[in-house]
Amino acid sequence: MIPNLPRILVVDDIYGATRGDRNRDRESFCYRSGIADITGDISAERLRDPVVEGIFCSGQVQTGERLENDLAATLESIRRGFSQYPRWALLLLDLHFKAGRIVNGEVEGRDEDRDPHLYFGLQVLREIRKDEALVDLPVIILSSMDRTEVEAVFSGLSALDFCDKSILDRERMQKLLQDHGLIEDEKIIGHSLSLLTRLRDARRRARHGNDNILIVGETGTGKELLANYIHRWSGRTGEYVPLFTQGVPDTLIEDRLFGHEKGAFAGANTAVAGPAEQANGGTLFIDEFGDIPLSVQPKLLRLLDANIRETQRLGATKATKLDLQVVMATSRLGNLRREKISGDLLYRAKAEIAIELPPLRNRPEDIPILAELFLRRYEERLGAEHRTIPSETLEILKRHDWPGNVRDLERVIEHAVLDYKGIRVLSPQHLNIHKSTPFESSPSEEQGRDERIKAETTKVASSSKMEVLVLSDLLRSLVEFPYDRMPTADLIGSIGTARDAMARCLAGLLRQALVATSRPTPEKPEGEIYYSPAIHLLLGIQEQDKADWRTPRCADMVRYIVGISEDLREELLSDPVLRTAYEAATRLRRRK
Amino acid sequence: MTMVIDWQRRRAEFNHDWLKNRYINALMSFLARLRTEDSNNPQSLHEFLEKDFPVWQRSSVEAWWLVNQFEQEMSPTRLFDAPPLNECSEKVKEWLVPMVHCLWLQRYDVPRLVATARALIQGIDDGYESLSKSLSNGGEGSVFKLRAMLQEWERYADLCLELSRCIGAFPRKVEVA
Repeated sequence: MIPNLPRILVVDDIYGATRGDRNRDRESFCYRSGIADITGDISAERLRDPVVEGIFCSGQVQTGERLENDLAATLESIRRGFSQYPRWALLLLDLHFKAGRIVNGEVEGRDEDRDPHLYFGLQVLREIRKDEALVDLPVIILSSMDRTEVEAVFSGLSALDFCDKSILDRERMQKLLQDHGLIEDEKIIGHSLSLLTRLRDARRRARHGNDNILIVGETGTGKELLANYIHRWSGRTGEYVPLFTQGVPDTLIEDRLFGHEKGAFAGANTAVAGPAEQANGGTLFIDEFGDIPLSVQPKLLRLLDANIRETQRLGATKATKLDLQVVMATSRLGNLRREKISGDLLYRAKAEIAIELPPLRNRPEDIPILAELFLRRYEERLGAEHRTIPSETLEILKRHDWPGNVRDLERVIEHAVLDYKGIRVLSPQHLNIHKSTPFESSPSEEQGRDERIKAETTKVASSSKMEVLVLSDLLRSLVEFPYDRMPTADLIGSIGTARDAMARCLAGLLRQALVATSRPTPEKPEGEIYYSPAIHLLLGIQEQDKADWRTPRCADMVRYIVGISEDLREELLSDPVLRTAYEAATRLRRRK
Repeated sequence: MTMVIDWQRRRAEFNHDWLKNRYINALMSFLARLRTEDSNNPQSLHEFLEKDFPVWQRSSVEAWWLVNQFEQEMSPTRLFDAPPLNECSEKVKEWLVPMVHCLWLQRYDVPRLVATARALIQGIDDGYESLSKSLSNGGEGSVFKLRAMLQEWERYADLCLELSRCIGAFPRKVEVA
């Protein structure tokens, strides 16, 4: 699960010392703890299967016949390795450093250094905690000294754990990394501090195994990937089952979530287990959980109550007990608090300790590695030339606002590869993004959002090239529109306008999906219209879920879309593609 | 009222500087190598046997000294050798010193601590002797033979760890609390 070996810094007088060509104490320490020593000051054994890479620092300097602790140099080593990639995943810090005169090759030691309150390790830790750049540095005390006298001191200085030197082995090192380390993931690409600290938060929450976890993040930040990550680290052996509620009519959500018994409603020919049941023993992920209608929320509350964890299929007389972890996500927590979402639900979802995924613009450090990944992916997929990314292009990518986040970056790279297959250098001209960057400075998040919305609106309005419009961006702009600042005059009749806009939007999507899934036949070379595949496409229904989305249910969806606005029904049905689908759906429902 | 004395320094040098940081460290690494399916570095195993393992013989003397001298060196009766308690009259010292000592023994359960430590050191001495004998009978020759002694090595390592914990649990200061 960890793609690159994490790198740790060990500050320890004995293991960090450079003694001739070898430091046998360090060798032993490395072997038993699974550390590949890459310090480079002495020859090091090559481990077969290391857990981490380690750099060792003694924290001391020898001047003549004396060995002295060197606070400034120690802090400099810590800072330098934490400011850039690959940064320290952990700092293992010794407490007592033996300093003083060197007699017959051995350091004499001083009584004052043995005073627990004067331990050099604690001095280093105090300085670390004063430095803003090191605030996220995970520090573990690694010592063979008694901890009781200084327990309160190092805890107060936010040391995350104490590890007795004599018992550190590979398993404990792995555990320390899992619990506290800033470690990368093979699927959630990036190594920025903001991302790695969130991954650590997620692992810590996952460790609980039976928790409800809420993920908050803008569209395209990777909420589903993080949910899957939580599942992988939870140690749960059951399945990871995602449920996407966006675009699902309110009337269907209960069925989608909890499943139904045979005969629960017309068309329910077989009993179907909902995702909650399928995730028993594993993890249920509910995307955009704020879309769950009020009527279904009480039932969801019973599922989210860790003491109850019950689900009940539609038409069932009995509830089923489950053992699962529930992960939920939303891109608009602020709105949820104002909207019709019950306070109980937010409480059970643990909204107060939600894991916030950072937007891509807040982690520009990750953009080069992501761009590289997407380039290779699409070069291979599209059979295009392998290309390099010059620094000028990288700079533009790093300075862009990326309102659609990682998904947006992927789209831009995909287009660049698709449109310029034979090119070997990714130039700025190949990037289908706006050259102006809305964030030259760093406004506050609230200001930033308003500016972004304004910029998006201007972008949409002024653009004459329809291909630059991305539906997700448009929808996001709609969701984040500052409704609270609308003049009263603009509110008049706005529901009708919004409803008509939604009807046109969904009808447009349906029409496009019907055309995309139509199949040419000898009688109809332009393509025969089938509405079930079109609905599957629009809802992102996977093969294994198609049993839940048989023809009658798809027919209902077609009729729902066409009927959203009575005023527009006639106009929409004047389109032959929509009319064909609608008539077929209506015929089927009449037969039933 | 506290004082720093030689016993504490020698305990730190034995337990912290040598036993935990060096001996147990080397021993744990040796065990980890021995447990590995294919010990790809038999030289390291032999290096431990030649350079690290025998050091116990020397250090055992220090371990015995620490345990045997503990009661005498760390008893708060030492406080009567220096100001201000040395100013007590001889008459008072006659009954106060034994009483302070007696209370200290009880409070820290010193007899039990010392007995445990003695048993552990004796156990390590015995283990050391037994392992040395097996090694001199040809056990040192191959990884295979060393691995056959794994349980014995593990017992030896456990005793060392236990001794380190035990000595660490001895009172840290000469004090009248």
